[in-house]
Amino acid sequence: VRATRAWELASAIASTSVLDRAEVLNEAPLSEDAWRHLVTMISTERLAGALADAVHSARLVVTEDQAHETQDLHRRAMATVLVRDRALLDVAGELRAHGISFVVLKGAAAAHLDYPAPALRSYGDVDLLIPGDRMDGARTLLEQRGGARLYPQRQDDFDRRFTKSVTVRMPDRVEIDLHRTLAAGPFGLTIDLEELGRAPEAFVIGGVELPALGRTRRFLHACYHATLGRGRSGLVPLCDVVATAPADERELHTVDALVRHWGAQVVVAHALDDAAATLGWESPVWLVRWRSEFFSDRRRERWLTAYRGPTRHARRLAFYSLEALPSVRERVAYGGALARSSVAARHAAQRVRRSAGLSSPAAE
Amino acid sequence: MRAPDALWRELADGVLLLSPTLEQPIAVLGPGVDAWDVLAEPVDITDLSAELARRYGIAPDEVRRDIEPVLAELARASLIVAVP
Repeated sequence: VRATRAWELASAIASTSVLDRAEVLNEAPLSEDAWRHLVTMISTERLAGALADAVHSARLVVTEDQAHETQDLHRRAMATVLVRDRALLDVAGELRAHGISFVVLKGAAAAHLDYPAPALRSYGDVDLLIPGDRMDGARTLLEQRGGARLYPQRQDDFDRRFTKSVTVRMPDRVEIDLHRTLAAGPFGLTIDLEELGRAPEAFVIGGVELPALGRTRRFLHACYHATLGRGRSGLVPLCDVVATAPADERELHTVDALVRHWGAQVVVAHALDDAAATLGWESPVWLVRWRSEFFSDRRRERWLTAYRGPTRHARRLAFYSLEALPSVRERVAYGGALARSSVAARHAAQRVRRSAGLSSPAAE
Repeated sequence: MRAPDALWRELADGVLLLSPTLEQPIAVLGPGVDAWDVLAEPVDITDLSAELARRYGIAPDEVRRDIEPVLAELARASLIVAVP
C-alpha cells in the first residue's frame, strides 16, 4: 500500500512538473515513513528534478528537513548527470576523430531540447545511436580507452546486423550504450534506421554542438522506451512522451507516416494511453482522434505481449524477431546466432556448476 | 567569462559546475550563483562587482572582497577563463 501510494505521489509530482500544473499535491508534510517511501521511489524513477521543482514551487508541502533532503537528492542526481555529460563529450570527440557518425539519444538530448530547464531531467548513462556497420568500430574505440563490454556478442556480426544495443562500462564506471536501433526484439527490427536518422536537431553542451534525433523521432523513441522498456512504464519515459508529443498537425503528419511505415501503431497507442492514465495528460483533440483511428494489428499485438509484464519473454521475443526480419537469409543468420549463443550459454552454465561442485552427468 | 567547456546545472539553491579538470562537480551557492549568471558574457571584475552590487543593494567594494575568492576558485577549477 505504501509503495502504491509512493508511486501515485511520484506520478503526480512528475505530472505537475512536465505539464506545468499549479495544483498543490498535499495539505501537510508527509509522515517520515511516507517520505522515505517517496524518496526511494523518486530515486528509482530518476525524478529528483521534478521533486525539486514541486518543492521549490510549493506544490508539494514539506518540512524543512525534507526540503533540505530534496536539495541534496537533486544535487546528487545532477552531479551524476554532469559526469555523464563529460563522458559524452569525451566519447563524441573520439568518435568524430575516427569518422564514426552518431546521434545522442534520450538523456542529455532530452534534457536540453525537450524540458524547460535541463535540471528537470535526470539520466544515468550515455546513449548513442551508431550506424550498424560502425558498431564494431565504436565498441573497439571504447575498449581501447579501457571500457569493458558488459555482455558478449552472440556471433561476430550480430551487433552490426541485429542487436538493439551494446553496453560498455568505462573505467570511471560510466556506462555507454551504443544503440543500433531503438528497441530490442521485433519492434526494433522493423524501424527504418535510415529514416530514423533524417531531419536531426542539434544541442550544445560544454561548447560542443551534438546531434540528436529530430523531435518527431524523439517522440517515437520515447514511445518505444515507455512501451517496450523493461518492467512497467517508467515515469521519465512517459514524461518524455508528453514533452515531445506532436505540437501541431504538421508534426503529427510526419509522425503518422513514420508510425505506419515502421508498424508502430500499437507501441504509440500504448504509450499515449499510459501517459494519459498515469500522468493525467489531456492531449489535444486532433491527437486523440488520430490515436482512435489506429487499426488493430493482431501480429503486433502479439509481439507486444512478449515485452510487457513483470518479466520479458526472451524466447518469444526471439521467435517474433524471426517473424519481423524481412528476408529468409536474415532469418537463417539470426536463428543460427541464437542457437549458437544458446549452446554457449549452456556450456558456460555447466562450467559454473562444475566449478561449484554441483554438476552430475545426469544434470548435464 | 565562463570557460566554453564548462558544464553546469542550475539548482534551487545554487549552481553545480564541472570542468574537464575537476574530478567531481562543485556547487556554487549564494552570490556565486549571480556571479555565474553575469559571467555568461565577458566582464571585468569592476563591472562584475558593480552589477552584483546593484542586484544586492550594497557597495561594489564590499562585493568585490567577497567575490574575488570565488573567482579565484572558479579559475583554479578551469571553470572561468580570462579573455583578451
